[in-house]
Amino acid sequence: MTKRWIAGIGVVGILGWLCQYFAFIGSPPEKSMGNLIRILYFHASSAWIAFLSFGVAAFFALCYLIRRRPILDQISSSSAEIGVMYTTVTLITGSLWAKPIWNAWWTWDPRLTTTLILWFLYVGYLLLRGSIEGLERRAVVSGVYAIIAVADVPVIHFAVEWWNSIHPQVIDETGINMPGSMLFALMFAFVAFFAIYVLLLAVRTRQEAQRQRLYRLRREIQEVRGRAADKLQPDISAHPQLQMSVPKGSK
Amino acid sequence: MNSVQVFWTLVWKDLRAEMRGGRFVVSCLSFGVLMVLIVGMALNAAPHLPASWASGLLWMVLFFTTALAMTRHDAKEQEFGGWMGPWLAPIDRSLVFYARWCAAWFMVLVASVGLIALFFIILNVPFPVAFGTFVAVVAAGTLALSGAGTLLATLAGQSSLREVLVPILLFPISIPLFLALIRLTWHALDPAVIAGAAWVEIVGAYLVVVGVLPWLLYELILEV
Amino acid sequence: MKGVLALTGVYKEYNLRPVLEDVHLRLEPGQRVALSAPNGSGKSTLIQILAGLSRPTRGAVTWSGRPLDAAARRCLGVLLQQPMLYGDLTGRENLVFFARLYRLAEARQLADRWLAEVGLDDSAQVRVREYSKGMKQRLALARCLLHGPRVLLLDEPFDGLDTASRAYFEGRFDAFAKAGGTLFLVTHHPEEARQMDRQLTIRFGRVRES
Ligand SMILES: Nc1ncnc2c1ncn2[C@@H]1O[C@H](COP(=O)(O)OP(=O)(O)OP(=O)(O)O)[C@@H](O)[C@H]1O
Ligand SMILES: [Mg+2]
Repeated sequence: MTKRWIAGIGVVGILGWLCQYFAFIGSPPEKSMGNLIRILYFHASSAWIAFLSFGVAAFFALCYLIRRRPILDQISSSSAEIGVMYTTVTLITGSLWAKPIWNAWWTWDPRLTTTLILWFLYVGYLLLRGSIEGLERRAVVSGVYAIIAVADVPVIHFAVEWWNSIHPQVIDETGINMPGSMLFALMFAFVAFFAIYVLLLAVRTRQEAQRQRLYRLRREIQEVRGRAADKLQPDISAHPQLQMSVPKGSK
Repeated sequence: MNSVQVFWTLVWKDLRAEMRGGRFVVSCLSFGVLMVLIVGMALNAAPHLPASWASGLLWMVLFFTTALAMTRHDAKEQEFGGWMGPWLAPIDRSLVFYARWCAAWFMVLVASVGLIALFFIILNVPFPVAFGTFVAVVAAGTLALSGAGTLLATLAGQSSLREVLVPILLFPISIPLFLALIRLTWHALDPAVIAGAAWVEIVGAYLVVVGVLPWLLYELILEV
Repeated sequence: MKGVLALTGVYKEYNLRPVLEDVHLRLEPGQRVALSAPNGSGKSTLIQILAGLSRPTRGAVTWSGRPLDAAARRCLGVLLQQPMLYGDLTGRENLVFFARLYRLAEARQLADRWLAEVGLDDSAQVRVREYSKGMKQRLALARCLLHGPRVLLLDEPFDGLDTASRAYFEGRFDAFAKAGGTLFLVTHHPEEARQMDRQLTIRFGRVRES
């Protein structure tokens, strides 16, 4: 188990360094934007990973609603949390990029706007999840919300696009017209970010699972203690009022 | 008796409870009017607003009012465990959602009639040229909005942050609806502005989704 | 058709903590069953699961061998610790409302008849929020008997009732069981439990005969 984790972290670390090498040194400056293109490698790949992680969150939420395994809910919520992080990175890098290009930190560019709304959608998710008592109920409610939110994303995107289509596509971020070395750097950044995502998801899910396991173990210890106390008092049934101190449940 | 009658029974219950000391309509209306007033002051008592601003402000006021009012429903259902009564009855449980939606829409509609009248008077907005379109947009818009609000209020019903959370969830989720309603209202105020059919489709899509989703999910959300 | 309400292999957890474990229970028609156990041992949870109000973590609730669905809920009369009434409606309106939910004919007359039965005709037009505890309990009992259920699931039904209405409801429940109804009653009073045909208790989350 530990070996696998070390290997995973090592691979992600190497990928991260290589990604920075390609982004900052390997790829040439762009014709019109110059070195600003380098932000794009991080911006675009974190945006993609953000979308991916919300999709994963919704998928596992659906699985949870069908199968009711706690692990599915843990994966779903961890993925949404990581998605919020990537969305934040997207927004910050987008802003950094927009300032020199459009001469403003913020424009009502459809993609930027959609991303911001997306951020709010999932901050709402985190608030909702954080404020509900009861594990099962929390899982069900946040699962339903995760599904609704993902279904809403394309609608938001198109609506914002129709609403504000005055901005020309400054750059085609899909990168079809990029030179090969830039495209390579972008793809590499995507792969590296994906690896980071997978690692974070694994760590976070494991953490949640361990937390629940710990909780369960603590309960079981309490029960064992309670039963032991029960055995020491064989005539407990004669004293109904004493039964109140006996924990219930068993294994 | 069939499902339709049961549905009306549930709506009747909500409306009756509202008339007995629920202050949904009154609080909606007074909050909304207050917002109109504040907006008027914020605009420095502008003598006339462009139609695009007027429609945007109108829906902003309606959104805030509905979002804040949506959570008022829940406390009464919880008080003596009343919500479990319909849950035990031999009916499809999602019917409870549709009845709540209908009752909420009715109350929002009553409040918005007063609100819109005062909006036009206080902000000195010219009477909508395409009045029929305007009425249709307001009716459909408040229907979709109260549906989404009821659904999200149900989701947030178990949360300790319920009152704050409903607006926080409702706004991002319904931004396309918001944009569509503004465009359509703008069109109603000034028919020279063309509103694409896409906006009508968005409102329709919201109505369909809010109509179908609870049928599948409502029972699930409220299960204990 | 006489139905059997049954639990098979029911587990219920709250926050990963087992409350009920591997519960198998059959409630036969005409049987009077008492359940008594200490506070917090899962009696109310069990009733809620039987009534289809709470979803078991694992296991199934069946009515005559089939899953408990909307149609089967018609046969259940359920009284929980909460009265399940609306504070803003009057006593009469509450009963009319529930009669209509159960699609009963002549809801108003039925409501009036039940209000008279449980001795609330004087307070029929008073809002339930202004009722005393015992009055709410009577109204809640009227609510769960109103539609002529075949199974009664009662969580501490005599809680807050005065002697006269208690005797009245005891008589009513006996008659109900004689007529072939299933009575499942949670009580903390040993003498009440002894009057029943079958006594159950919950220990370590498992339901046992006692
Ligand atoms: N909604 C809930 N969330 C978390 N735990 C709950 C919930 N409802 C009940 N429990 C727990 O389940 C256990 C059983 O509760 P339940 O209400 O069924 O007990 P009870 O036997 O009816 O007690 P009483 O005699 O006081 O009515 C309790 O330990 C309680 O803490
Ligand atoms: Mg109880």
